[in-house]
Amino acid sequence: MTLHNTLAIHRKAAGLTQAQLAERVSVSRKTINTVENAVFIPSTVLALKLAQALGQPVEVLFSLEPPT
Amino acid sequence: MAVNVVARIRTLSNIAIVLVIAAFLFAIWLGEGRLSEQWVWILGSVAVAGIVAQLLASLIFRNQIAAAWDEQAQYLNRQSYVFGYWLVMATFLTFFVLIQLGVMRPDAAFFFMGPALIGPSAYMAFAALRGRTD
Repeated sequence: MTLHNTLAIHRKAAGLTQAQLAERVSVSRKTINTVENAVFIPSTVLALKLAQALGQPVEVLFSLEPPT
Repeated sequence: MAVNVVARIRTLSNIAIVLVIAAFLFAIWLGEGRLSEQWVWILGSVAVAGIVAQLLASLIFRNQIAAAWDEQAQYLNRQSYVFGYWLVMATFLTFFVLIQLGVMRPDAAFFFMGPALIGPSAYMAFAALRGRTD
């Protein structure tokens, strides 16, 4: 099962680079990159941290269904 | 773009030990199985140097540890040990069969089990080169 995400969209809307977002949630830029590209599935904790950092509900960032 | 020194030194250490072990095996092949004692010191020195470098980097760049060992790095590290286990298991079983067939001596099998421990380092190095970690 694939976890779909709109992380890149909301990150760019917030005016953040991958490195800046990575620093805010204490992960590497590579992790942000692989999450955005659906290569790595984040833990619940990291998903919540990303949602908090971007000021979005976690279900807006991540979903089991492709974003509309 | 700022480099994560802790992660970068970890990767370089893994690549270094992989390259040295590969060179070691190539040297044995070139020398038709004869081993120069200096290789033992080279292998050990590279491994210890990598450990010391990672320790120093972690002490000097403490604020980079969290990012260097984020959940993806921890996941890859666990996977590297799984890979290393199965590599050693496959090597052991292969050597066991070769010994039973009389193709390999037990002391040679024991000797070559050492390089089989390269698994975790190789896995982490490959993961870094694939862009999964710094």
